[in-house]
Amino acid sequence: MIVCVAVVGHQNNPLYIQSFTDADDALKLHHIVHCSLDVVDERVNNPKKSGPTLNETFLGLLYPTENYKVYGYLTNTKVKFILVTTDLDVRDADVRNEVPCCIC
Amino acid sequence: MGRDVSESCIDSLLTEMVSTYCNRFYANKPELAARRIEAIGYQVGHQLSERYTMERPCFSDHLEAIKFICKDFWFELFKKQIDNLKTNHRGTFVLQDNRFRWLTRMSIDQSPENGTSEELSIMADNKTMQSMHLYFPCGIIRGALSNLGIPCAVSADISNLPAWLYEEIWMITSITPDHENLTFSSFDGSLVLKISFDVFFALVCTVIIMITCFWKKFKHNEQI
Repeated sequence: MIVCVAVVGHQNNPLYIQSFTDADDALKLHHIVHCSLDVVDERVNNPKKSGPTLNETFLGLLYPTENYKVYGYLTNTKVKFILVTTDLDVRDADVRNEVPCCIC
Repeated sequence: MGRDVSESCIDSLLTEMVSTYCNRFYANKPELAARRIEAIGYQVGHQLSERYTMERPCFSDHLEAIKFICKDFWFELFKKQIDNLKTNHRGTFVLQDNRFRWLTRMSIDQSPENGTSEELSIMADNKTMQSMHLYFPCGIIRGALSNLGIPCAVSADISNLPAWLYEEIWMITSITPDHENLTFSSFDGSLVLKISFDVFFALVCTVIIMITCFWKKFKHNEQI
């Protein structure tokens, strides 16, 4: 189940952030999204594949926390989509298909 | 992208936009009108590039982004690709479109058979009107490239060909942090390349170092 969706601009400015749980959890989710921005920057600046240049827009699982998994997607215009989900059984491929639908 | 717009509507809208900004809003200030039209184009290009790069992988360098503009972006806008792309590999790109869709239906006032001064002034008016219509596409290109992370300046030139065949040339110069934006205050159709002082200084230093190296090598060869 997706608990939080965030859209962050290319200067790391928040454009849209929406959490889908109880109100007192919202701040924690905002913190998680904020931390994941660092991970996105790291992935962009140090691509794992050292051969051809990394041109994947879907960044995959950014980092797992105690209850949540955080996925990231980067567009060509450096707009970042961050998805926080609690579903521990979800696979990369499912999230990869969902993100383009969110953009439209 | 799945959305079609009537072409005659676009033509009418653009003609009306240029005429309103030039004749009503900024009647005696063509530079301001040009800036406003270019700013509108910037917004449009910014948003269009967001849509059209949605399903593509990221661009690895500037040339890839420019090629995207020449092929996919231009095709979405004008149903054709740019006809010719040239670069000097130092940040300047020249895009050439041999038949620019938005100007194919624009007519030029035929000069009357009176004195040459009238002909020249009419030709100058024609040139100004044509250049006004070019600011919008310049803005679109600049907006699209800025959104892809490439700050640049775009200028356009139109060569005087018969009315049924217009040749447009867009020059894109990428800006380093020391450059200023090219202003549109004097648009006389000529392409001006500006080199900033530090680039010039770097070139001079390189030349001096090269001469010194060759001098040392020459002396070494002499001794042997």
